[in-house]
Amino acid sequence: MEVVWAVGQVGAVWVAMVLGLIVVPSALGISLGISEAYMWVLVKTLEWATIRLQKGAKKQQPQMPPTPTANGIIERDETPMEKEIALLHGADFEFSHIFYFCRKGFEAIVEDEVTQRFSSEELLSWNLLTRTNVNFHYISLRLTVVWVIGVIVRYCFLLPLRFTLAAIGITSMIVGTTVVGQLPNSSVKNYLSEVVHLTCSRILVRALSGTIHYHNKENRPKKGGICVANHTSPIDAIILTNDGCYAMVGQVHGGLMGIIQRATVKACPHVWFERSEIKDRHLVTKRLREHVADKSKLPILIFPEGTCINNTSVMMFKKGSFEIGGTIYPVAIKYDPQFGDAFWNSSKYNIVSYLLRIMTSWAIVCNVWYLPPMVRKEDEDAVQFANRVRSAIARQGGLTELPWDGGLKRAKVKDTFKEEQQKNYSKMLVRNGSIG
Amino acid sequence: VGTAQMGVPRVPRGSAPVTSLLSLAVTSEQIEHLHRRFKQLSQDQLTIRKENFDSIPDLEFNPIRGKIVHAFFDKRNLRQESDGLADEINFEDFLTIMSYFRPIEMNMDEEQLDRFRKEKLKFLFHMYDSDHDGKITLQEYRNVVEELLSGNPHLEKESARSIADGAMMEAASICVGQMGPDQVYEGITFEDFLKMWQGIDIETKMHVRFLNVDTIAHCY
Repeated sequence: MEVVWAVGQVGAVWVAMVLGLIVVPSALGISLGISEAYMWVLVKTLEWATIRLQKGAKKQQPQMPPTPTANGIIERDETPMEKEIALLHGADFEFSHIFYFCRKGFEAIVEDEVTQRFSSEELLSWNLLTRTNVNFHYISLRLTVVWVIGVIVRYCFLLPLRFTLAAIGITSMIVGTTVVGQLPNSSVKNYLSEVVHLTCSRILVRALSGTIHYHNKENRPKKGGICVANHTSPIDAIILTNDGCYAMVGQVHGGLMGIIQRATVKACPHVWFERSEIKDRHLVTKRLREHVADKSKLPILIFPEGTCINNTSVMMFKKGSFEIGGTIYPVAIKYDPQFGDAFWNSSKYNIVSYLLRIMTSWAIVCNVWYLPPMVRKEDEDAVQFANRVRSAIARQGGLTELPWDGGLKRAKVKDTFKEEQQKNYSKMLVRNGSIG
Repeated sequence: VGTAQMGVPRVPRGSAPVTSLLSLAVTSEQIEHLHRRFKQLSQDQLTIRKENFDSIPDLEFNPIRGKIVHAFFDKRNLRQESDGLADEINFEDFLTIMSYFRPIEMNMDEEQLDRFRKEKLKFLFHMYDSDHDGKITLQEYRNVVEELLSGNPHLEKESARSIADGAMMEAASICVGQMGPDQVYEGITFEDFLKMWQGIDIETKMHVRFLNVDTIAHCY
């Protein structure tokens, strides 16, 4: 009996602390500085760990200049095909042409640019998480002790805390939006809906120990516009709604997600599509156009890549989002992988194990840049416009641009793509007069 | 070979370039990278089959994709005594094939350089010589040209043939000199092949160079 009462007391204190220190400040939009302090400690620890690792490795090999591994492990010769073949042995067709293709083939086999983007980014230095150290080599006792402390802190303290916060966040989102949804349509309703959405977003961001830096806030998406961003994980949406209100676009799901969707759409005009509707592109475009045309409605949030990429590059943008019209507000999101890997490798982890991994990382640190709005020019078609927006996002976020389709995660290369390259080669031969 | 998992030779971390029984002067980091790549291609199996190369999008572009994949399973390249094609290769075989593309090292002497060059040329020779008879015949050469031009629907077979014929004539003139009217040029043997490449420096063109990866980056 006494035990139950004691546990009840502890539980009450715990909830009171969580409410007081985290939930209330989120509602008011202020910060008590707890996460800043946590981040400071974390950064210092990781710096110390890096130095120790360097010392350990130095004994074995002389220092080599670190190379960013995000762009691959082999040196690629970027000279265009024509130049290289011309260099080999004049441009006539010779045995030497097979060189160029042979080497390209081998480079592709050792490492291809596309598949690389669907696995987590490599780190320059260990960040004291077991999952990022495939070959755990014993460096020193102190490092191991710090690592063990890290494990305890993450799993026994941070995980329950984050889980509680997430539960509070989701529950209040559902309850709050349902309540607000009962009100008749008015400016009060809109205001309250914004408050609810923002508060719950903030709670959820704290649930992930997120530290987000927003840049160029003056370019924040305005009503009646379309917000476009690169996609790395399902939490991208939360990262963005932490700083503003958007109308989400997506497919109706079942389960918990479905409940959230049904509740929120009462309070705020999100655009949820049934599974059957998604297949009809015209219907989708029409609904989005109607939404955008109404200038009083919140900007819609779209991720044109269509799938999660590992945050080192931006893949092809699907042109559908760019055919709707209206003003596009591009946003670049770049996560810092040192504190926790936000990339969702959907072929490797399901959503639950993904969330678990996120909640047992150190933190989610990212930079969000709001880019100046863009409009489609007269002589541009949707594809060119999409590429222009993509370049702007890639440049700002420091990501590489790849012309590939994110769908390659699951499908094979389209034949049209293949023929392009082969045509180029043949054209080159014809031009140089080796044939005919 | 002392192994940990999947037959990877266990070498001390960050040590000087390893010269293992494959005489493969690659560092242990590079072997690990290749091993990870091997696992990715084989989908965590111990061996790779031809089908596994289908999962590389970059390779789809390559007109001689078939020949390159074929080269991995060619027993002559795998330094095996027998002839023909293997059905599947393990990581050691994979490394053997990759060794044909290793770059020159600074400390190689004349003899090593010569052997190095011969190895690379032999690899190329095997690519052309598809029936494994030690000679590149006109027909085999035509096949290669056709494959290289296979993407373009506007070029007909005739053009491919004329290119092949022209090239073979040139090869013949280099190797045999002036031929009499009755002489038939049977095909390019490996010695002739070597002659054709004299003076052309392929060592610097036919290699895949690894970037220097910091020793600390043993992360996933």
